[in-house]
Amino acid sequence: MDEIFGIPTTNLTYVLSTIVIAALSLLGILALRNTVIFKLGVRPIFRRPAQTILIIIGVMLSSVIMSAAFGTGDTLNFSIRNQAITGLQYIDELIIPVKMGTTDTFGSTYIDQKSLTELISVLSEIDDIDGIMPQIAENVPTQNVRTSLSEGQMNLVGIDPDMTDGFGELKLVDGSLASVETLDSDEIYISTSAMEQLDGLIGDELDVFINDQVHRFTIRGELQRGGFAGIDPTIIMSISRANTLFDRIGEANTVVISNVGDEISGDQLTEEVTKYLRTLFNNTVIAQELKTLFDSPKIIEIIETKSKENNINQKLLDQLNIFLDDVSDAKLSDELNSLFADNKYMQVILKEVEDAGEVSVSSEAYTLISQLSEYRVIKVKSDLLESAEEAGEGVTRFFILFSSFSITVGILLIFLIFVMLAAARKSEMGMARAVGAKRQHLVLMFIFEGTAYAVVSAAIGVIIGLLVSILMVTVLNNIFSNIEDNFSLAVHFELRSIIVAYCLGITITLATVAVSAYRVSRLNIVVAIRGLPETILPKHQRSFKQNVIELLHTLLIPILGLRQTILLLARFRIRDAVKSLFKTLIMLVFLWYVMTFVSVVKFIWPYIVRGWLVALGGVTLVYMSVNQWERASWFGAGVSLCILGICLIIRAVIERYRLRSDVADRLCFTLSGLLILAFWALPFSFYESFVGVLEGGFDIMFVSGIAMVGASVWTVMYNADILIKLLPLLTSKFGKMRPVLVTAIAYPMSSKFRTGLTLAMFALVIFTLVIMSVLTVAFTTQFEEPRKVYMGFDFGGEVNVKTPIENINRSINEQNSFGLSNFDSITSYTDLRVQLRKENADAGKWFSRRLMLVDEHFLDEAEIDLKIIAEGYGKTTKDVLEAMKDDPSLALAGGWILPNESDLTLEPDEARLFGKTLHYESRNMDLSRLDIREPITNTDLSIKVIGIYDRLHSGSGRLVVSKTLFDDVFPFPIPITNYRFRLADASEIKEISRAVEVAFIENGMETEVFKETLDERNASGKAFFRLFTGFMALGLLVGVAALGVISTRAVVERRQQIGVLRAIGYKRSMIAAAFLIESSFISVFGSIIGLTLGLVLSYNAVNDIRSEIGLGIEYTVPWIQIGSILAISYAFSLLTTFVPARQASRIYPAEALRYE
Amino acid sequence: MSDYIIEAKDIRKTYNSGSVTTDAIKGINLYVERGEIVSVMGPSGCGKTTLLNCLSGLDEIDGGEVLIDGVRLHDLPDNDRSEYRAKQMGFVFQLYNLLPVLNAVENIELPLLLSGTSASESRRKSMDILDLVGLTSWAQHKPSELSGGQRQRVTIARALVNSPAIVWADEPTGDLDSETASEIVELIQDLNRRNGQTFVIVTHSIEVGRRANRIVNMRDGLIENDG
Repeated sequence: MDEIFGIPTTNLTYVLSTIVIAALSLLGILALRNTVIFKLGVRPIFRRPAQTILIIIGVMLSSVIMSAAFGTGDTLNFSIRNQAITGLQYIDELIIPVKMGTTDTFGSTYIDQKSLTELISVLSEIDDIDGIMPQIAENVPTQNVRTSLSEGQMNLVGIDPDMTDGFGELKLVDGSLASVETLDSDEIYISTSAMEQLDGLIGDELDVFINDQVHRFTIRGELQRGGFAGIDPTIIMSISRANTLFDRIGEANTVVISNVGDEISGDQLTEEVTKYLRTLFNNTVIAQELKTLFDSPKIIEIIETKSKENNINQKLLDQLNIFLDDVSDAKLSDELNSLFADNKYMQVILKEVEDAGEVSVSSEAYTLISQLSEYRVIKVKSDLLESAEEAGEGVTRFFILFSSFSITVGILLIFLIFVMLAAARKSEMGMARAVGAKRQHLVLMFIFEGTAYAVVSAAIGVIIGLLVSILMVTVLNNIFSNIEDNFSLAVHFELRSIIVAYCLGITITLATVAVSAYRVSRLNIVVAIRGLPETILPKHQRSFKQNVIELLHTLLIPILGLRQTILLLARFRIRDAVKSLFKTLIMLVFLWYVMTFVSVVKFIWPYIVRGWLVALGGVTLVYMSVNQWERASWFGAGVSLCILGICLIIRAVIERYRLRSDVADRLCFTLSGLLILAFWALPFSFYESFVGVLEGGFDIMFVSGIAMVGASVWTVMYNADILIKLLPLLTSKFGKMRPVLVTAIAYPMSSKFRTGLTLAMFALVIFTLVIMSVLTVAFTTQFEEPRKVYMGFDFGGEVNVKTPIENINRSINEQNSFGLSNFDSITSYTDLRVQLRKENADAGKWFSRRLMLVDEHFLDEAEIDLKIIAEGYGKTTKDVLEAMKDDPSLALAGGWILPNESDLTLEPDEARLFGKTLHYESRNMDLSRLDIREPITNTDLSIKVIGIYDRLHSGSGRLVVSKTLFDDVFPFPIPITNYRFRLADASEIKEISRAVEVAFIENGMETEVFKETLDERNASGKAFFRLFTGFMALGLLVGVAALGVISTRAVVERRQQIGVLRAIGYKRSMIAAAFLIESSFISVFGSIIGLTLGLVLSYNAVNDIRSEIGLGIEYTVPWIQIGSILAISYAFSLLTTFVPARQASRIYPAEALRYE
Repeated sequence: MSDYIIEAKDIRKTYNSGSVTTDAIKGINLYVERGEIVSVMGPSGCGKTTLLNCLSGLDEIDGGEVLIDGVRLHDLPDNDRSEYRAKQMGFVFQLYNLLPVLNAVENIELPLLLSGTSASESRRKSMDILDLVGLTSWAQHKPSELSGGQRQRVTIARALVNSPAIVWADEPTGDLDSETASEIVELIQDLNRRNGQTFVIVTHSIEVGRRANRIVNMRDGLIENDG
C-alpha cells in the first residue's frame, strides 16, 4: 500500500523508524550510563518467566492488530494489482466512442471506418505509445456443442493480427504462440476461463449466437489468461472475421492502447498519454468555454476551499491544484483541458460548485462536457491500480478502526501491568529512594523493563499478526469464492508495512510505559506501603507562579542549552561546548516535546481536577460539533465532558465545605457516571430534535463505548464499599464457602484502580462483541423472503441484449421438458440508464439513474410494497399499477431514490429530484413530475412519479416505468433483456430455472434463483461480520491475559496471607476457589457491564439504522452466539487463573508464613 | 485420655535448600498439659518457629510423632488437618498477618465462618471478643488504620474467637514496644485464666517467658532446658 490513513507509507516508515531508532539509541545511552538501574529494570524479566510470558502476550496485542490489518491490506492491494496487471498485461488505455452513430444498435456504438483510420493515424504519431489495437468487443451467448454447457455473456474479441506490436505475445497455455492470422474463418481461440466454463477441449465445436444466427466455430487453442484474452470467458478471432459476423466492415468499437514500457512501467506514462489524447480529442472551443465559465472568483474560492480539506487524497488534490493554477491563465493549458474530460474528477468539482449554490454554472458545465469530445479515454489499468490501492488502504483502515477497542484495551493492559509491577516493588522502590535514587531513576528502571518487553513483544506480535492475516485471507477467499469465481487473494506482505506495524507497536507500548512509569514515580511510597487510598488532588499543590516558572523553563530549555554552549565557546572550553550542544540537540529532538507536554499537563492539571476546564472543553466541543463539524461523536464526547466537568466542580465546592473527600468523590463520580450512562443510553435521534442532524459513523460507537464503559466502571468502583457491606447478606446462604467469597470479593474491591482497569477491559471487549453480534443478525436476516425482496417472483433471467427472445410464452409452450403450466407468472422488463431531473428545472443538474421498463403483465403480476402513494391514485398497490397501465407516463420510484428525513438538511442529490419536503419517511405525497433524458438518442420525456416502493425490494434504487413510454424513443424496438418468473410449484425451482437456461441458450439466457442469491448474500455477509467479530475478539486475549497477570501477581503478593488463611483452617481447595472466584468476579462483572451496555447501544444503533435507511431490520439478540462468547471468555479467564490458583493452593502454610 | 494436649515424641525436621541440608529439629520430645502456657525460647535460628509449625501441623515432620489431644495430626489428610486447625487451634504471629482488605471484625470472624457458624452468630461472637480485647470501637477499621498493638489484639481475638483448645503464638510481642507487649501478655494470661486454653508461645522476650507457666529453652534444634 502506498498510503495508510492518507499518509504515504514510505514517509511513515521513515518517520516511525527514526523515532524508534532514536528512542532506542537514547535509552541505550542511558542504559550505559546507568548500568545498575538498567540491571534492576531488566532483572525481573528473567526471574519470573511465566509472568514475563503473560506480559508479552498482553503487550503484543497492538502489534498483532496492526500487523494483521496491514498484512490483510497488503494482500488485498497486491491481489487486485496482480489481477489488474495479469488481466490487462500491456493494455494501458481504452478509447471508446461516446455518441451513437446512425447504424448503431441498442447497447453498442462503433467508430466508423474513416474515423478509425484517422484515429489510428493520429495515435501512431505519439511517441509514448507503442501499441494500437482496433478491436471489436461484444458479448455473445455461446454453447459447447459437445458438453451443452453455455456462457450467456461470452466476450467475443476481434483483434487485428497485424497490429499486435507493443502488446506482447499472445500465448497458448502450452507455452506456444497463438497465431490469429492463420485462423480459418470457423476457428477461434478461447481463454482458460471460457474453457473451464464450457468444459471445453481443443477441437470442440462452439455455437455462437449473433443477430438471430448461429455460427459454429472450432476451438483451435486455449489462451493464457490476460491481455486480449482477459480474465473473464473470452473468444479471440481476427477483427476482419468479427467485422463480418457483426456486419461492421472496417469498423471497431474500441481502440486499445499500450504505452511504451512493460506491463508495470507502461502505467507510468498513463497520465501523460491520457492528457495528450484528451487534449487531442477535446473540442478546444468548448474547452475554452468551460474555462471561461469556471474563471470566476467565486468558483475559484469554492475549489480552493475544497483543496484545503484534510481528508482528500493526493491525486484529487493534484487535479484541484491544476484547476486552481490554470483556470485563470489566458491560454487553455493541456492539463486543464485534460481535466475537463476526466469524469471522475469533474464530478467532484461540479458537485462542489453546485453545493455552493452555483447551480447555473454546474448545469452549463454539464452540458458543455457532454459535447466536449467524440471519444472517451479510459485509464483502464491506472484506474484498477488505484482501486487496488484504495481497497488495500480501506481494509487496513477498517480493521484498525474496528480494532480501536482492542488497541485501547491493550493500552489499558500495558498500563495495568506497570501499575501492578510498581505495587509489587514498592518496598524495593522505597529502599532505592532511601539510599539516594532519584525519581528519574525509578522512571528509567520501568522504562528499561518496558522497552525490553516492547522490543520483544512487538516482534512476536508482528509475526502473530501476519499469521492472523493469513487466516483472515483464507476466510476472505472462501467468501470471495461465493461472489467472484475469477478472483482469489494471494498472501503478500510488504516490508515497509511490517516495519510500520512493528514501530507502531513499539511506539504505543513505549508511550504507555513512559506515562505509567511517570505515574509510578509519583507514587507516595508511605501511602503505597500502608495501602491507603490514593487521592487525585495532590496534597501539596504547587502555586500558579511555580507552575508558570516550570512551564517557561521547559519551553526555554533549548535556548538555555544554546546559551550555555555559546558561553562555553566564549571561554574556549570546546569539549564542554560540544557536550553541551550534543545534550541540547538530544533534548530538542526527543525529550523537549515530552517535557513540554508534561509541563503543560502539570500546569493545567489543577484546573482539570477542579472541573471547570473539563466543562469548558466539553462546551467548546458541543458548540463546534453542533455548529461546525456536525458529528455525533464529538457532540457526545462534549456532553460527557460537560457532565464530568460539572460534577468535578460540585466535588471541589463540596470539599471546600470540609465534607470528607471520599464522600465528595463518591458523590461526584457516581453522579457523573449515572448521568453519562443516561445520556448515552437515550437514542441519538432524541438529541437531534434539539441540535439538528449530526453525522454518525464508527467513531460514535468508539466514543460511546469508552464513555459508557468508563462511566459504569467508575460508578461501580466508587460504590464498591456498599457491595462489600452487602456481602453478609449476599453470602449468608453459601455456608462454609462464605469466607471464601468474602475474601474473593474483598481483594478486588480493595484495589479499585487495578480492578477498575481490568473490569473496563473486559467490559469493553464484551461490549464490542455483543454489538457486532446483534448487528450481524440485524443485517443478515433482513433479506430472507425471496418473493418479498423480488416483488413476488422466484427467479429471474437475463438474456444477451444482442439476442433477445421474440416471444417467451410461445417459446416455452414449444418446450418438451417444461411448459407454461409450470409457471404462475412470467413477466419481463428492460434495464435502461437515463438521466433524470426535476421537471422544468432548467438550471438543475441531471442525475444518472436506471429505469425498469416493464411490460403490462409485470404491472399485473408484481407484488410491490408501496411505502407512499400520491394523492388521487388510490389506496392500494393494485390501484396504482392499474393507473400505470392506463397512463404510461406514470412511474414508481424505489425507496433509495428518496432521501431520509434526517438527510434533508444535508441536501443530498435525491432532495433535488423530489424537492425538500418528500422523504422516505413521508406518509403521503403529491404527484412528482420528472424530466427524463435518454442519453444515446438525446430524447427528452416526462414522467409522473405516483408511488414510492419499499427499500427492501431488490432494485429499489431504480424507477419502474411502463415500457410503452419508450416505444418511440429508439429507431428500433427496445429489446427485452430481463425476465421474472413465478413458479406454480416452487419446489421445482432448480430444475425449471436450469431448463429455462438451456432452452434459451441461443439468447444467452442466464438465470438467477433468488433464494440462492439471498442465501449467498447472507452467508457472505455473515462470514464478513464473523471475520470482523473474530478480529475484534483479539481484544479478549488481552482481557484474559490481564486476569492471568493479576492472578499471578496476586499469588506472589499474598503469599504470606495465603499462609495465614491456611493456618486458620482454609483448605487447599478453598484457596484455589478464592482465586478463581476473584477472577470470575471481575470477568462476570465485566461481562455483565459489557453485555448490558452492548444491548442498550445496539438497540439504539439498530433503531437508528432502521430509521436512517428505512430497511425493515429487526433488533434480535442472538443469545446463543452471545452466550457462547461469554462462556468462552469466561472459560479462558478461568483457565488463565487456574494455574496461579493451583500454585497458590499448593503453598505449604509454614513456607508461606516464612515469605516476606 | 491423657492429660497432655500436646505430645511430641522424637520429632525431627530437616530443610533441604539445594546442596545445603539443615537439621532444624534433631529429635525433640515435648509434652504440654491442657491449660498450660508454655514459652519456647532460645537464640535466633535454634528451631523455635519450626518446632511450633511442626507441632501445629503447619509444616510436615521428617520423623517422630505428634499427638494433639490424642489425634495423630500428621496422618490426617490435608483437608481434615485444615478443618482440625479451624476448629481446635488459633494462631498469633509476630507480623500480625491480618488480611489487609478486611476490617477488624471481618478478620476475626473468618475462623467462625470456616467452622460453619452462621453469619449473624459469627458477627456477634466476633464483636464480643473484640470487646474482650478492648477494640469494639475499631471494629470497622482496616488493619492499615490500626496501631501495632491494636493489630496484635485483633490477631489474638481472631485466634481465640472459635474457642480453640490450643493457641500457637509466634513472637506475639516481637514487633511491639515493651508497654504494649506487657499488655498483650496480660491479655493472654487473662484469657488463659478465663477459658483454660493452652498457649504455646515462641518468644525472645524474657518478660513473656517469665509470665508463662513453663519455659522450654532450645539450642541447635534440641531442647536444652525444659522447666
